[in-house]
Amino acid sequence: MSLLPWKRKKMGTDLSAYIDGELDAYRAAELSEDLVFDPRLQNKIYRLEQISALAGASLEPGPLPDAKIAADQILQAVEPALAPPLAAPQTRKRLKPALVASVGLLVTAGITFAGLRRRGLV
Amino acid sequence: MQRSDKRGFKIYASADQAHQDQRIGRIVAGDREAFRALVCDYHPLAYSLAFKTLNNRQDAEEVVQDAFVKIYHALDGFRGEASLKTWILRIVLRLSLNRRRDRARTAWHRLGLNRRNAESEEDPGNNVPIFETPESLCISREGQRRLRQMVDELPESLRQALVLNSFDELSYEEIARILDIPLGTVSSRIYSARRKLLKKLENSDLF
Repeated sequence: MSLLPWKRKKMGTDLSAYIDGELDAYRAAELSEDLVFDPRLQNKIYRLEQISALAGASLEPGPLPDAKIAADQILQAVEPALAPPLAAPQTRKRLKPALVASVGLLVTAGITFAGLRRRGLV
Repeated sequence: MQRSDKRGFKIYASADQAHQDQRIGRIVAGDREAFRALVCDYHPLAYSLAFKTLNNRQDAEEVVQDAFVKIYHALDGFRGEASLKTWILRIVLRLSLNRRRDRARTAWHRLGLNRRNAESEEDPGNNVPIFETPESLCISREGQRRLRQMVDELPESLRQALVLNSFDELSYEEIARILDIPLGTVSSRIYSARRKLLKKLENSDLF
């Protein structure tokens, strides 16, 4: 089985897809037939299967965290979005400039009144 | 009837999509329980992907939490061209890769001072084998650690394809959608990753 480099790569890609069950039915049937008679192909498939299993095992995440607990924590993080704030803080925001304006007006009126009084006009 | 987009990917137009749209509609409307159910459904998959990318429990948990918060805020912009699953995994993968990149930049990591921490996390039980496959039982815990290191050393594009392929529930088509690459590229990247790993293994004393 001496194939040109690009054909060898194509064959390798097909074998890899074959072990994942991702090859189209026609090509998979072709390969299944070849596999019966070709020990080199059998060996290649075996090694690909082995490396796939080993890589998969090395990536295993171990015990998973409890999804319900995680969901509660995530809900807490998005809580402000899920429960929009009431109008109260907005009212308070609007109150602040009004309060400053009123105080300013009162101070101005007081100073004016004091000035007028000093001149004996009131 | 199933439609396909210009790259030949199936467009999800079925009862599943109706259910998905309904679910998204409820979440966007502020339904707390609908969002909670969505998190419970996809958390295991999202966490596994984050862990497989980061190899660190705490980082994976933080990334997944961050991902779901982002998912919540982005849900009203979800257009339904892909399945919710591939969309969620795409976000998780992107955030995991960002975290991996940031982590690699820190002096702590560059000096290898986190290694002890990572090892202890890979070893949750004392004498209980972590992995259940017969192959994994044939190599020692140290062997598994070294194999994991070999996977981590693969070129980024190959590693991503290999990591996603390690999920039984993800087809090549779904991997292509998550990585936004053509289907044929998925096959060739997975094969290249396996071939490189085989070579590394052959050059080591593990095989």
